[in-house]
Amino acid sequence: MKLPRDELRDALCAECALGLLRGAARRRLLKMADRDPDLRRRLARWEAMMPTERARAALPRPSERVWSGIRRELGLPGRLQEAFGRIALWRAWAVAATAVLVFAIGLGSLFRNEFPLAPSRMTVLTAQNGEYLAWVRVDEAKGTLSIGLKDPLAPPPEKSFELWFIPEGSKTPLSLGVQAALGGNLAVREDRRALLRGAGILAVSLEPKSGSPTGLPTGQVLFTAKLAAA
Amino acid sequence: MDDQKELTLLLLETAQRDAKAFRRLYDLASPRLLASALRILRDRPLAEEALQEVFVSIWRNAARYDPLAGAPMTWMTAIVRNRALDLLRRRRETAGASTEDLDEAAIGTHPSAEQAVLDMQMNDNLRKCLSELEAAQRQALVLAYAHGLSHAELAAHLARPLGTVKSWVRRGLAALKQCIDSGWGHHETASR
Repeated sequence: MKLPRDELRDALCAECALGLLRGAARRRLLKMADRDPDLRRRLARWEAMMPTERARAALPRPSERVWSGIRRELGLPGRLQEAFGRIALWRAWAVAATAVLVFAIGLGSLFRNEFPLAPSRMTVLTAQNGEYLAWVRVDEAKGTLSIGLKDPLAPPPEKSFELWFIPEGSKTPLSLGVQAALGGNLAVREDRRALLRGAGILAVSLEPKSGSPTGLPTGQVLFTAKLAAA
Repeated sequence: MDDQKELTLLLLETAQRDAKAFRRLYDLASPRLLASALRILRDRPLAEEALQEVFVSIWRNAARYDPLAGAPMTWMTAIVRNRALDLLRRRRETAGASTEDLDEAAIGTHPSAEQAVLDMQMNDNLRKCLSELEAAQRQALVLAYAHGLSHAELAAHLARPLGTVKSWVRRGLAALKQCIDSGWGHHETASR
């Protein structure tokens, strides 16, 4: 049966969400969706429609060895190690980082194509008291930050929000750009876009209307977010 | 905080390599995800193997979760199901048994596959539209989703030619889409 292009794309996405595309066929579709926003949207829509398990009392509990297997494979600290505090934690992290690196080199990205959604990175912007404000999507390819606030946050009169990035291992905030109201997309200054690939801390400070006059934050830092490396 | 929002935050924190958030995510989501894997694999050790692999990959790929594109449970369920389907296929290949034998044995333990899906959490619009499908189309879709049957396995199980079953699936999905698009509820917000 010949199908119009749109219908064929939709039928493929529907069959994938239903579980009828197997192995290589599914991975091919997911890989295409990585680069094709229309396909990605269709697939996400079908997946969102599919039933999920109901939260109920009679659900099976995985046995202990599932979590210990996950922990071992990822080199995550166990409850005992957590009790030893930071030093033990950092040592475990070093092991974890090595393990992840070894795994990454060894197996490449075995699961990469199992993740059909946008290849951008997400983080959470929190206020200084730890309160959640919004998620932030970092698209290092486009050089943009998107701040998921339904209604942009307006600054006090004659002020703007300035966004900063403090690369890991550095103490100096580097300006990414200024927003008159916090929210939506920010096109990051071109000379700072490469920063977005690395790990560090995003920060938002309150500055004069046209941004900090000194190139460093002069006002209060209101929100921060941790960003892992791409 | 509702369940949905907490899972979203936990996934975003997991993306930042927060091991505590990851553990909490595991505690909250693993029973439902294990149930998803069990539905397809019907074998506890194998389902737990799928669950373990999936959480390892969630830790590594959490940054690819996009809250705008779908609910966290939807995202994780799709990953678990895909992994379970791969394991199912691998097991059938190594078992060397004919797929019909395996399916009859497995589905035989589930008196009503349709009931299994209707017991799941789905939005009211989908529930209504499913009930309006022709019986054969509905049965094919439900068996494929609930038990991970392939086209060929559906054909064997329903004792119909492959072409007939393929067209039931395709027409069923098209009818479902049409019904849902004309429905009253917005599928992403209705009764999660």
